[in-house]
Amino acid sequence: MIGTTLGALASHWRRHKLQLFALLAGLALATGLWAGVQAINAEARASYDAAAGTLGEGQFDQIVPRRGEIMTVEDYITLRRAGWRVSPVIEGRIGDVRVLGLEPLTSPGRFDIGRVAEDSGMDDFIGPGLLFADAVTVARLDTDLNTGARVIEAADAPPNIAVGDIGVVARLLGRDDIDRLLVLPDQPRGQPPLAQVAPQLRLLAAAQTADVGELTDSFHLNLTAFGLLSFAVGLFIVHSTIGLAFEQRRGLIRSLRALGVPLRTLVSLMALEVALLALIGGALGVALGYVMAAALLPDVAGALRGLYGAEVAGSLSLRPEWWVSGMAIALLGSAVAAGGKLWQIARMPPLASAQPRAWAEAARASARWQGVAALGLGLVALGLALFGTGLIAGFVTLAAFLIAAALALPVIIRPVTAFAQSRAHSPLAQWFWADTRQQLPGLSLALMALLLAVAANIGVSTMVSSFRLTFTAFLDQRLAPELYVQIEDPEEAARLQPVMEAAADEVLPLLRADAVVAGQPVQVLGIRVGPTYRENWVFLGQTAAPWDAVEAAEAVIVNEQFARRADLWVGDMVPLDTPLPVAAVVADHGNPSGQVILGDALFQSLYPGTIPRAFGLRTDDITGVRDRLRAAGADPEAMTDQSALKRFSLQVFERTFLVTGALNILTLAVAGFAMLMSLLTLADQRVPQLAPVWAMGMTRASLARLEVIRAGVFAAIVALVALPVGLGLAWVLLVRVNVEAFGWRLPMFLFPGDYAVLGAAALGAALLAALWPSLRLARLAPARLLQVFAHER
Amino acid sequence: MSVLTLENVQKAYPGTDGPVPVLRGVDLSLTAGETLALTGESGSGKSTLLHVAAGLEIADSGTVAVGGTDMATLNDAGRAEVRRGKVAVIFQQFNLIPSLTVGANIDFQARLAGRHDPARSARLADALGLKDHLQKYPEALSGGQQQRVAIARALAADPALLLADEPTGNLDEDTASAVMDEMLALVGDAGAALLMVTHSPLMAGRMGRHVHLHNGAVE
Amino acid sequence: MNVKALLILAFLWAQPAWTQGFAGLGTDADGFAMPAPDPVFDFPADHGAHPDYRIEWWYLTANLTAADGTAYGLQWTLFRSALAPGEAEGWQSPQIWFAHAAVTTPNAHYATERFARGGIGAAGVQAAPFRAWIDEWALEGPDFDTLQMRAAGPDFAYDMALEAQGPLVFHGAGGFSVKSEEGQASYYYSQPFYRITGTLDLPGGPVEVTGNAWLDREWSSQLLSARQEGWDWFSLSFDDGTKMMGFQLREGEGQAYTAGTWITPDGATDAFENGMFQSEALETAQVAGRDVPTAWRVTVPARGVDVEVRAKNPNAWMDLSIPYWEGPVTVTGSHPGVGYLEMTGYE
Repeated sequence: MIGTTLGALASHWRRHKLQLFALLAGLALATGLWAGVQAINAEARASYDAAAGTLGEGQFDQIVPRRGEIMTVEDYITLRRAGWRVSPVIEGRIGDVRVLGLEPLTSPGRFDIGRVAEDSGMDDFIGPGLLFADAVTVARLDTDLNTGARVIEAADAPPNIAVGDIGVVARLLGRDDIDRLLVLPDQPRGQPPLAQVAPQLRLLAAAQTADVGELTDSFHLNLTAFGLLSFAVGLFIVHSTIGLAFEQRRGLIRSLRALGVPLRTLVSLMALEVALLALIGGALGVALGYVMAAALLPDVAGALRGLYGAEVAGSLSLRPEWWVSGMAIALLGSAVAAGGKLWQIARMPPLASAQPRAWAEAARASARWQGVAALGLGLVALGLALFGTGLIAGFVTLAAFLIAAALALPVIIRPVTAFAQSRAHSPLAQWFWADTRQQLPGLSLALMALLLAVAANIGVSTMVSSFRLTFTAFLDQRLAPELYVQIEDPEEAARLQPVMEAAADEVLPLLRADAVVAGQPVQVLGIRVGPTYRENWVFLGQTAAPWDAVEAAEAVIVNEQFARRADLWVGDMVPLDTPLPVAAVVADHGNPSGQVILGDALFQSLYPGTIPRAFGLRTDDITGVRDRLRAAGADPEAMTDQSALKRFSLQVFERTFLVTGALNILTLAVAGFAMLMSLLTLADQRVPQLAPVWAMGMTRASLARLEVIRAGVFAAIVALVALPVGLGLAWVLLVRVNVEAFGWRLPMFLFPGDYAVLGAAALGAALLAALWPSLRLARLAPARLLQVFAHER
Repeated sequence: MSVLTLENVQKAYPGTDGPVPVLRGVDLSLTAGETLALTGESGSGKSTLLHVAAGLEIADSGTVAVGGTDMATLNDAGRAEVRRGKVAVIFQQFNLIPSLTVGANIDFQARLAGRHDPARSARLADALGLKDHLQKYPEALSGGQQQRVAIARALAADPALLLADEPTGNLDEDTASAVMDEMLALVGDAGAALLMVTHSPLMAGRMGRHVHLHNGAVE
Repeated sequence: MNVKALLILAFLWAQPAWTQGFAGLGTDADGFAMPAPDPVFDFPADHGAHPDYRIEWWYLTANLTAADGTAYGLQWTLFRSALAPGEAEGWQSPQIWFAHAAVTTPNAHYATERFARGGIGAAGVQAAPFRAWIDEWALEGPDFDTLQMRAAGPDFAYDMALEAQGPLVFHGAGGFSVKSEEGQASYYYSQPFYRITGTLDLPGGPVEVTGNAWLDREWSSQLLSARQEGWDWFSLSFDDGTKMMGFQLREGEGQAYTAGTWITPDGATDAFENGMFQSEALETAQVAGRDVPTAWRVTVPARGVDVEVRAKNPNAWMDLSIPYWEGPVTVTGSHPGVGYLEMTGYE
């Protein structure tokens, strides 16, 4: 019985291959976008974890030599013998690969025991030695490394880094000193202070070495939000196809029950069927996600490296955390879509009408609760937008706002079509609008998907373009000096400074110290106030003459990140050793950390003996100044000209935007696909609705034209609704999410041209989606239309 | 004057073993005000003949002329124009446009044909007992009421030729009889020619002329 | 799996030896020197390290008493484990050192460990003047009889002075201690007569203590047979001044290889043949998620010994990279006294 019943259920899919395709494609697309984004996130996280686990970056305090000093193995032993539990690290490069030497016996987290590389014996360590790296790096090193060390593959090695015993790496690099010591968290009792044991070394607190994971969180949160949005769009497809398939099989279900298939068996088999389809679609989706992530990952890796200096592997591995979550979400989505229908069937009397309920009838009932839900969610979004705090609240606002808008869409379209109908004069126009309204329930899910896609596009493109505009302006403002020179040590500073003063029109030394001010880790910068600063810097808020006050050591300038985090604004006192008021707040889009900017005299009194690490030079003759500095012994690598810096900075942001841009296009494509699938699956139902009009004297071609126009009308309304929704989205992203994630608020710019293009794209997607079903209609055999009226020829 | 003329009309449908002839040279003519019952067993070609007459399908050979216009000389759009202007069709079921109200359905074809006369529509609605249902949607009506709407719509367009394919076939006997009475009375008032496909001898007996189709030919 | 763990494992126990006997002590010993019968010891040189042997330790335990009568236990152990025989300078040294330190109070047990590479001076043992050290931990003095000892962890530290009150004693046949029927053996001698005084620095504050300490010196290249799963080792000091060392090496299915030494107050010894020393678990306690026997009946019929040995604090679990149980015990019965118990291989 079970086989026969399954066969009967499956016959539906054999007859409606297109529906089957729509269902599987919808599931695959939804899962694919989700899994793809998750895959990118998982890969990046794994890279950070591997890096943090191996390098101890951000986790441990570190001991490094003071400037100009080196640290020896004897220093390490001295510290160990004084009771300092530290572990030495040496690092360098072989070709492009960063090579890291650790002392495995003392390095933190020694004994997280896992699998052992069975063929790597200890003799290899002491003899030629071993390096561990991921597959890509192994391949790269094999060609570069002729020193006898063997590189073996370790799946979880951080990207582009080879790790080995400190002895092996020291020999490879030809070094006998140590770069840094990791300070273990548990230190024994009675430990003498560092200054007493090794005055030539200094301790860097873990907080000062930025935690890559935290910095990149917001980036990944954005990606995740996108993934979720895409999944929602895909789920609309699944929901509508499953709904349709269940409606169309009411007759079959009645027959099966009448033939004695128990209700429980039937419902179980249908659930099994849905689960099976979900598994197939989900698996396809995971494959799709893999392909997508593999294509996008190099750009994501590039963006993250550029933005945060975080190394992310450029290649993808099949991690269970994302493919399992992809499959789970495919199953869950299908369960949600099918659950309601199965419940209805379970409650349906065996001989209930086999007639599919009219879409319109169902829609009228659901329109009411949709309106109520939209209103409720809208209120939630509004409340959160006004009173919510934190990144999560920002994203919840977004979600509530978007869902509210989607649910409200049919409620908005219905009166629009009713109004148009009432104003229409020709019978054809009246019929067109009436029919458009009748189509609404069948298409509303696809239209909601389109709305979400277009709104997301508008929102993200507004954010990205506002970001780009602000950032470019910021670069022009901040990167005024034509040439930048990095300094290694005090001798070099002493040697080069007179050369710079003589060669350049204006020399801007930059003094830097790390400090904690008002509970926030900040960079304290000391600058020489001059025309460059006075002319170029634009403030978010300022006193009458901020630069005079800074020059006179009577006030400081802070960046927006610090101002917001420490809750200080113009006129508030900054708790330095001698508290000083904020003269101005400057927008700073270049880094995530807070900055306090002082005049150089004040800086020297607070941090005596600091030498400038970087100089900005104003000159019209960049090459000339460069040459003179090189002649004076400056490292050409340490000189960067402004245009290169700008180009690099903009490139970094372009790559970030490329990723979101690609996701945007994919989302829009999925929405277009949703529309196509809805129209195709509705095409059969359309025939009885169109046949009378045809019989009364309309050609199939003109009916088909009207179908295309109808899709266009829908898309136009959706695009119009999407505009305010998208702008709302952008507002939340810029004003709420960005402030929480990056610490600065971006001004919002409007880009009507972009929106027009997006609207056209949405229209294009809808027209394209309507084209195929319309062509099929235009070529529909009259006999198919006539079948509607009678079964007899 | 001849409203509908069929001369040696042939029509075949593609089948698994080559074309299956459905109409094998049918000759038929209908003048204004005339009512004709077309009977025949299942598969005799009754409906096909009606579809060909309405320009919904094209004959393979022979002449089909509606109001003197040879359908073979017209393209799809031309045939659609004939359907709008001169012909009205009533089918066994699904005649109505589900998205329009009963009132709008009645007016629809008349307005398409540019012959909308509100008074005429109102009279027809009244005569067919639809006055209270004009604002409803077709799905809210019974089968008999839906067919009455189809009749009202067909006659509101004031067609020269009314083609009906088992218009009462889905109705019970009493309702069918009542609907038929109303339709014949209204057709008579309008002076239109009526060609009605039916398998009921009772219905056929109420028509002016009776043609029996057997195996694709008039007997 | 992270790379570090991989490195570590490859480093310490690279051969698939981890499952073979406790801590890989039963593996083959190609290239390493092997203990031979009838040893002739050369002091003070033999107090120092023997890098040609695979494993070696300086293992000190002490039963301590505070002024208020509270009993404490103390452990200081330095292990040497060679990846290959011999010594080399710098990072290339094949010698690995690790050390354990612990203090047991009636209610608490503090344990900590250190690791160090050989060859760079982070750890080592020098024979004369005697100096064993790892990081800031040390056991050192002008000679082996007069030593200072210190160690520290995050939550405890100690600083002790040791004074030998008797001679060295040699186990087995003149210091050649057989560990299995197959003939696995080690060089094994002890100084069980240290008088110890000093300060325990505990979370509750410093505690002045005095007592007796027992130092074991042992080196070998293949200590256990492959069949042996772990051992129970007893060092007991009876109130009459007699001392007794005894151990059983468990071979599974109730089989064990046993040995021991009877030590008179003046340091004269008598070695027990296999089977003469008998121990039987009386009670087990749940410690660190395992069942560990913390009360024993120990009998040596030939010496009229029939005692109950009971942990002073059953929770003396050494939760370190190599986990085991080690703590002070109370002895009651035919020969009352105190002592130390070490149990390994309870998984």
